[in-house]
Amino acid sequence: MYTTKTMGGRMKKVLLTICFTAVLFAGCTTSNQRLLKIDSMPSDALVSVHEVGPGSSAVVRRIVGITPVEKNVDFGEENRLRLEIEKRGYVSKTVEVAPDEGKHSIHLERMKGGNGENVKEYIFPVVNRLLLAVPDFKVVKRGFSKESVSEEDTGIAKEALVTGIGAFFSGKYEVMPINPSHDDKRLKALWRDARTAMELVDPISLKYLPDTPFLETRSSREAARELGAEYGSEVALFVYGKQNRETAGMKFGKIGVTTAQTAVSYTSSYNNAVARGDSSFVYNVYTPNFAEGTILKAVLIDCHSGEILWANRGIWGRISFNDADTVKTIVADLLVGLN
Amino acid sequence: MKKSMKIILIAMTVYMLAGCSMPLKMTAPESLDLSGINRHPYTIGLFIPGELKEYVYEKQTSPFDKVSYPLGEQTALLFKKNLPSVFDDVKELDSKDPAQDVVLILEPSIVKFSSVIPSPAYNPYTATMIYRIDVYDNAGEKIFTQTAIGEAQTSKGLLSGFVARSLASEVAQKAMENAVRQIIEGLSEAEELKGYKQ
Repeated sequence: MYTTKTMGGRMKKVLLTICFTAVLFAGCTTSNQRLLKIDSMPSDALVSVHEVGPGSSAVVRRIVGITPVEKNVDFGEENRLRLEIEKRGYVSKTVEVAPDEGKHSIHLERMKGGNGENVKEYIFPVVNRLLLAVPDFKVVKRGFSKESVSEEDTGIAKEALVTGIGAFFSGKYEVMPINPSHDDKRLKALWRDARTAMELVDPISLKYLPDTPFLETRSSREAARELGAEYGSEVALFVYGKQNRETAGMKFGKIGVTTAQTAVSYTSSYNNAVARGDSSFVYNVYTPNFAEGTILKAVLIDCHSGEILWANRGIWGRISFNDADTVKTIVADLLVGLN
Repeated sequence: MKKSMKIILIAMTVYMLAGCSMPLKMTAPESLDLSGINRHPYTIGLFIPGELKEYVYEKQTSPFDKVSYPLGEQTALLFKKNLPSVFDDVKELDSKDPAQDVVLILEPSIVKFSSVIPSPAYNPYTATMIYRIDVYDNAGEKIFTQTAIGEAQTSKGLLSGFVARSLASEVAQKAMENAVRQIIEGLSEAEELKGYKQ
């Protein structure tokens, strides 16, 4: 943050330059917003735009919506868009469209499996009982000169998450926590593949992927099937995450460092201004940046087939796991779409 | 005088650029503690493609500074050192063409690597590594695949800035070790790999 001690003529010039630059850049970024109308046969397919990101050759994917969709979309300088239409069980289609072409109707063809059978569409199974693995969650305490996992806070957080998830599904599904010591080996295989899925599966496009995503290995699919049968559950939920907390010593240290930086900036700017004979000077105000926050990732697996039914992930600020209302809000946020 | 100033400036620029793109120093990986895992009683071939062995991940930390991670070299060492804990013997192969003296051929790959070198330097250093290993039988058929993720975080609090490069290196190595550990455990438990004999 820059702070000016007095507002002189020089400052006005700076402001004028900033305004002029802003106007110039605003002109450069004029978008070509036009109405896109698209439908598919069958409907409920995911429409996304594939475009090359600014300053890079990487293709960026932007979700437009679910068919039928009518939306104002930026058609870019080329006045054309490359759209991908995806639906589970159907061969995905890529089409190029221009504005003013009216409504686009896309016919999707069924996708065939290895034996020539139709790949099944996305169906959420009927659930009565949900199996819940104890969340793999840790609380990291970041101190002045080191950081470590707090066992006590980790325990509190895990318990709060289990309670919060139970409350979220209350009245809908019966939640059955898995005893970790009893099923350790099977859970290990399941966790391994569930963690990979949490990282590699895109939560938004998951239910529209043409092919059904499953747990990767036979060991984990077998483990899901066995545990599901043993507990009488149709689905299993896995939640992973961590929270970074800073100790009072760390916070105090950061405040000290940024105060010292601000003082150095003020002193040197002041001295330079005096040496030049200027009546104003600019100095930096440094504010401490506290690296605290919580990350949570989750996947829901069909115990019978090992299919990955749902995934989500998110980042929140520092959460107090002793506050049931806060945990309830975060759990509802994480599990959105599952109720 | 002007000429010597020019030379000094050029030399300084070259030195700065060379210094900035210097690879992170990573210690030789050690054997992981994998006691108690199921071993497969046969010899496998380990095929590490050239592009993987030489893979260097580069991270731009500022317009003038770049950190490079010798991930390929470390990955090759990690797998060579730890695969013998799950198989009787491991032979390094130059291709994945079926070889007579090995029962299965394993080919590792890096699916994704990401790291955070924080600014300000006292925030957490994190790294994520996702490895995949494909296993082929003697007919060249893929019989098993395991993908696994390893994550790590570290810092020395407000003192991190003094050892930023070593923290970036340490956290990347921890993430790689975590991912390899899970790959090894996955290989050990894989039903698909049981029943083969030398």
